[in-house]
Amino acid sequence: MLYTCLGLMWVLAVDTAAIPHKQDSIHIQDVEVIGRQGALSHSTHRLSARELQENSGKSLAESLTDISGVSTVGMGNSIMKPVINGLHSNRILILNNGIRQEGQQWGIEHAPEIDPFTADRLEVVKGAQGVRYGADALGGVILTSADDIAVDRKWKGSMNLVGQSNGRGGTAYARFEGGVRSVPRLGWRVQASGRKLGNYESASYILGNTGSEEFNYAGTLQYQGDANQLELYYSHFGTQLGIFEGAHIGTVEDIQARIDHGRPFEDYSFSYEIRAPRQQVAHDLLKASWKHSFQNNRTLEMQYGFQRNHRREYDLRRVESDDIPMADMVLTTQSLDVALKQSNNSTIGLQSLVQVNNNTPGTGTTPIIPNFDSYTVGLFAIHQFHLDRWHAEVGGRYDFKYLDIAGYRYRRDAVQGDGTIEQYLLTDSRSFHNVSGTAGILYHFLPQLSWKSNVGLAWRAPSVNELYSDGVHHGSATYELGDADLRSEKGLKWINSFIWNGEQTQVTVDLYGQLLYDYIYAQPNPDSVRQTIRGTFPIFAYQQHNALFYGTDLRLKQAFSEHFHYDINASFVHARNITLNSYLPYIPPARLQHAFSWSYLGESQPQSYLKFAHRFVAEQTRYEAYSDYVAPPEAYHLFDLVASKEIKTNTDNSWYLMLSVENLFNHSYKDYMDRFRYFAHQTGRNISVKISYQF
Amino acid sequence: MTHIKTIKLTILAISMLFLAPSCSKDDPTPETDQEEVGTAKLVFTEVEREAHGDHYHYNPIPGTEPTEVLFEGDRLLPKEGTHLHLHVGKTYKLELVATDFAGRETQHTFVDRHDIHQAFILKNPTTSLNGTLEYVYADRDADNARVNVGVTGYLTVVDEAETFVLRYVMRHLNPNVKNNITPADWSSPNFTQFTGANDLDLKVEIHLVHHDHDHDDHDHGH
Repeated sequence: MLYTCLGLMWVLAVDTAAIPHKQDSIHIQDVEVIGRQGALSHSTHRLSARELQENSGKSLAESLTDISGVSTVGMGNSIMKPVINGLHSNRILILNNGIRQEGQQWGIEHAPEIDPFTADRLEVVKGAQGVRYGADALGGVILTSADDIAVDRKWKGSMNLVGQSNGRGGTAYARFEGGVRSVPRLGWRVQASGRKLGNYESASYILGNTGSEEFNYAGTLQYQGDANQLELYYSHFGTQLGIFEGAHIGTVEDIQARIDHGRPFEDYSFSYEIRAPRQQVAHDLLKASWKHSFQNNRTLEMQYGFQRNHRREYDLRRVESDDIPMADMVLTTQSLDVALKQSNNSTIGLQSLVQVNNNTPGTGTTPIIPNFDSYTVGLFAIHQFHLDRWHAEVGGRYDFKYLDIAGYRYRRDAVQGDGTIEQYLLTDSRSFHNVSGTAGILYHFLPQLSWKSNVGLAWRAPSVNELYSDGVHHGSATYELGDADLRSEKGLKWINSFIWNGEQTQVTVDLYGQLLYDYIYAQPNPDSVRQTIRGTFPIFAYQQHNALFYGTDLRLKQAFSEHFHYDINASFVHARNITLNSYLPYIPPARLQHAFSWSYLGESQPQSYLKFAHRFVAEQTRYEAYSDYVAPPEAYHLFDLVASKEIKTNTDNSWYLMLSVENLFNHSYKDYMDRFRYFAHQTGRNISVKISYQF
Repeated sequence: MTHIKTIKLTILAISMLFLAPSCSKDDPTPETDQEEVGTAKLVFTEVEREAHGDHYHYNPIPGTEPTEVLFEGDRLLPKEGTHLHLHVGKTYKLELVATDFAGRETQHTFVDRHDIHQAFILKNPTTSLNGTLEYVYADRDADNARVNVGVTGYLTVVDEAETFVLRYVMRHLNPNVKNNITPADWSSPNFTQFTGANDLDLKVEIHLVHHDHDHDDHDHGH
């Protein structure tokens, strides 16, 4: 009933008149480049075609690290999550083909269930984007989207093969699309990808049980009418991946022994076998969208999304067989978004989300997060103003979220006389509501020089694990302790972007500061352990303090001639707990990557080039001493080489061949943002061969 | 105006469609935490050790009463003040009895999966007891074949020692790790190098004494 009432309210409220504005040539360019309301004053970065090609076969998070200010956090080489300006997981949003991706994203070992091959565009919008995209968009938004289907062609397609030495495996991807002759303007697309990798290798040893398998497929039907555009999209993402065996620990004593040794105790051999501990995840997404254009430049967009995320985590069990999962969760999400747009000036919309999470019984272990229902609804409005070289936007939003949970817990603080601990049914419900806002400007000093400035207020409700987890998280061998009294986290981010878009030089400098009120984080404390009857585990307890993040990102592209180019990406972020006047854990250290490339055939074949790249990641010196099991690892330098050749056979057909070597000198290193750094090094040299045929 | 009306009706229809499915969580099911051990007991029973060439036979001594140490509670601790006396020159059959969350005996699960379990006995925290104690694994699997687990074993006191904390660790090992462990590693101070987790980590105060030594002010074994 709530949705119906809000829908009615929204319908009655819609009365946005067309607001004429002066569109100079610069503004038209903005619209072409940005093409999206709510991002006029935000720093938006998109991977180029060359970067997409170079990153084919990699995970979403790895692919995005070519954007300054984006790094990764995760566990080893197979589980990586994107980090934007120091924030990750529930603090960034991923829009998968327009649908807000909803998996179990709270876990640092839960990578986004997205196949990057399904995306023709990978973009990152930095800044607090809470108004347009809803709660959780504190750090930024990742947008994966596909091109419109070529309905005017009978069919076209592409095929990609990627082989890599590290992991001794590869990826295959195929995509076909075309128009339906009997129904003009109706197009279809099917695509599928598969990946198989074995144990990966650091510079000097193999990491046992780190292989992965993936099989993904998707299909789209798209009708591109003048007044109506309809799309039906379905995708399936399925993966199975091993968790490094040497990281299977249960005590601080074990962690310390491994840290002291510096590398795994065991010598592993190469294998494709994936055994416990491992993860098996299936994510299905269905999207139905309708866009209707009225004659007065008004458009109505409606989008329904259905997602089912099934995550199973397997551990080395003592009693049951290892093929019975320790965690078996099914998260079902339905979303309904409605937006009415007037030209490119105004948007008013409603977003709603219903989530149900159920733990599948029979795991023989009490689930770390309870079953829950969650209902979210948000109303927003954004308006843009254009006056000569000044462009501005303001927006506001109201969100309401209701959470209802039920799960079994132990009264660990009240051991009974016979030594047993009482199990009880915990039920609770929480309501959260918040107002978000955005205000920003875009000013063109010159046709080449622009300044964007945006202040955004965004929020997120504490996630279920932050509120209610109380138990061993077998995926990370930690004891997680939630706090049911946590408040919503609010973030106020001010980001300024200076953009020089010259013929030979393109520069973007982002300067930002973000105040996070009631920032929620899990602090690892080596002196704090929970002794359970399963073992002794380090406690990661959720806390809440105010925090300040600030930093800068630099992106520079310099063309010395038609043949020689130089690119540089650099970023640093500092973060402090301003309540306790201390550093926050797991903040990415400063990083720099730059590359020289030689397009030996000039602009006639821009995809034919040689590239030599250098990556540098500094040591994280801003951390609290003795707050972790070990100090952050030292800085490292990596060098990469890419050779690419484009072969055009005719207008529509082309081949791309690429040979790349990452970590050219097989350097042995550890990364602060890798949870496996306690146990093992990062990947060693990797030689990849990529073949792509587009027709 | 016709368009607006159509849109309103469409939105209403979809809103109701959105509400229609019964979206509600399941009632949670309480899980019996099979991975956890509820209580543990170490049982010391004096036996006779009889030399047979390069090995020993261990014979029960009729009428011998076993000494039991029960570990329970959230932290699996023994009763406060528990202090065992083991006598130099004597041999004890050391047995582990563990119960799961439902109170059922579960120590056989360690033997059933002997490929990933092995016990280590140390002076807390990680001092080897080689030279002070001798230990022989005496577990047998379902086919009566000898396996080294440590649910059952024989502990011989070689030398006297002041009171110390005896540590019994049942290690849950990663696959293939056990291939690198020999019976001689029973008191390895580097047992954490055998990658895995601890299923049990039991600690009890112990005193290795000559036969004529005894206390009156402790709860102790013989």
